[in-house]
Amino acid sequence: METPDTLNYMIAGYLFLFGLPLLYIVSWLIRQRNLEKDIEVIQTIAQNKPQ
Amino acid sequence: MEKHMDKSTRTLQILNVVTAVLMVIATGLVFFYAPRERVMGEVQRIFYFHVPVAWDSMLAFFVTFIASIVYLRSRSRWWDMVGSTSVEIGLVFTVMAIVSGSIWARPAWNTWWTWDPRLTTYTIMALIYVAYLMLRQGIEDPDQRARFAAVYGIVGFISVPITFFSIRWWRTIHPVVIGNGSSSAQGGFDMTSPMRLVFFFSLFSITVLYFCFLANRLRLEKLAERVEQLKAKLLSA
Amino acid sequence: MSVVSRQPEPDIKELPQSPPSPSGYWLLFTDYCRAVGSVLWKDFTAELRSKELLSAMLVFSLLVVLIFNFALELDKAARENVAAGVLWVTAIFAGTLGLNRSFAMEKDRGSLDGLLLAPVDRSAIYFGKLLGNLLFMLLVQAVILPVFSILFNLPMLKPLLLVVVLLGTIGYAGVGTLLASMAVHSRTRDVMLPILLFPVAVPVLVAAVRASGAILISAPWEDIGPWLNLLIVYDVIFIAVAFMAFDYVVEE
Repeated sequence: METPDTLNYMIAGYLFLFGLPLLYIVSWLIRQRNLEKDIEVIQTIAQNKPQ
Repeated sequence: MEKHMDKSTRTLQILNVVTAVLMVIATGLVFFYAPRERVMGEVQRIFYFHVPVAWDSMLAFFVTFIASIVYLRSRSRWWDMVGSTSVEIGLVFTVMAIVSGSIWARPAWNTWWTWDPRLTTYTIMALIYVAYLMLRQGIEDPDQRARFAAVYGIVGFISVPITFFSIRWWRTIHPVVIGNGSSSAQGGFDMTSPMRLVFFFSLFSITVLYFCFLANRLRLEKLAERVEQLKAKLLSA
Repeated sequence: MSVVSRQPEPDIKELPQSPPSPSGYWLLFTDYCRAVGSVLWKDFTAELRSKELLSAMLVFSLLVVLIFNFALELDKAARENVAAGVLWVTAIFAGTLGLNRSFAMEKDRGSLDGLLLAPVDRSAIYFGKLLGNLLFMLLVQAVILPVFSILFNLPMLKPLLLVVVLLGTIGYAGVGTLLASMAVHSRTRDVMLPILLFPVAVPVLVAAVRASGAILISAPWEDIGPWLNLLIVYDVIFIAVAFMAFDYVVEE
């Protein structure tokens, strides 16, 4: 019996298997950047406060 | 304090590098070393990531189960973070497993979905942990949120094996015939030893990946916590 | 003024306590039962006065049956197949009404605080609430089953079926009471309970429907017995877990 050509399915599968975790990691990086920005803002406000 | 921070950052960086290397090797093994399977063709290679990811998702929920128990005993915020982070990662792995499994099933067994006991239970398990996250979302008080989540993390985990047995027992009495016969639907292909090597290496790498994700995500969570504390201090000052 | 420093008096709780004597255990037990009873009695009499909950559960159940009648084309053979399923879907949906309400009052009026102050193990509240929920669900079933009998033209008053109804309801209410105590604090209060409960209650649903179905067609014992076992195992495990976990839910 001839082995069917299922390469496309494999590619689709691995695209998803790599794609989703990569998106997840990107979401971390975005969130980290936002949090660090928040810290900067908070520290600036804290410094400006005692007047 | 500075030195300690550097050390843990360094450890995390090493872990990240090691994980990346392992994953590259594993991917290489899957694409170039593993033999081509006779019956299904290339799509069978999905198996090498699909199964470890599914197993590790269950490991993630088990970690949450343990973290929940430890949290209720110790009331340490750390364990609450471990529990919720592990659920998040577990769900990412769960989605990866289900979608990759579906993509594999289509050419191999001519169906996108099957209601076999394992997959049905797995889906129910996913819904339990989605509910876990929704419960956390809905509770404002952090202490109450942590307690409730821990209780549900325990209840949910215990229910999974019981659910599996009940559905499996039900299905053995009334077997569901979908598409092809039952043996191939069980994922039937014989593993030769190169396949075994690739599989176990992949399993190892993905488990390391889980812990790597957990460590990184926990660090992010601690950062978020610190921001919340700073905000609170600022508002009360 | 001289300040005399003294060792603080040992706290009563820190004194080494000997385990209760047999009569001491009995007193603890009766106190516990009294606490359970008072929780149950409070909810029962409250319901007796307003009768809101029971009538809501009853009407809702009948409406669900009606909807199924229109949604599913039921010839005689189909009716036999789905009767058990419809019965339990109805029970599960109506049950969430009762479970939700069982803690809603406590949260809104803070009436749980008095119970929490009592020197009894907190799990007494759990059992009191559980018995209340069980009572309401079974009362509704008592009315629904005969109605079902008529609508589906199937004899539903078999004793074994009543056992299944009892065991299934115990399991469902057992987990449901614990989860309701948490769901009531959520922002999305009413919908949170089904989201938490349904996936965890799947074994009850599967076992109860299979057993009920087998009983209705008078299948042999091998088809029924194991499902009863599963129900009993589920009930024991989850009531034990809920019993231990409830403390953590209601603590202040």
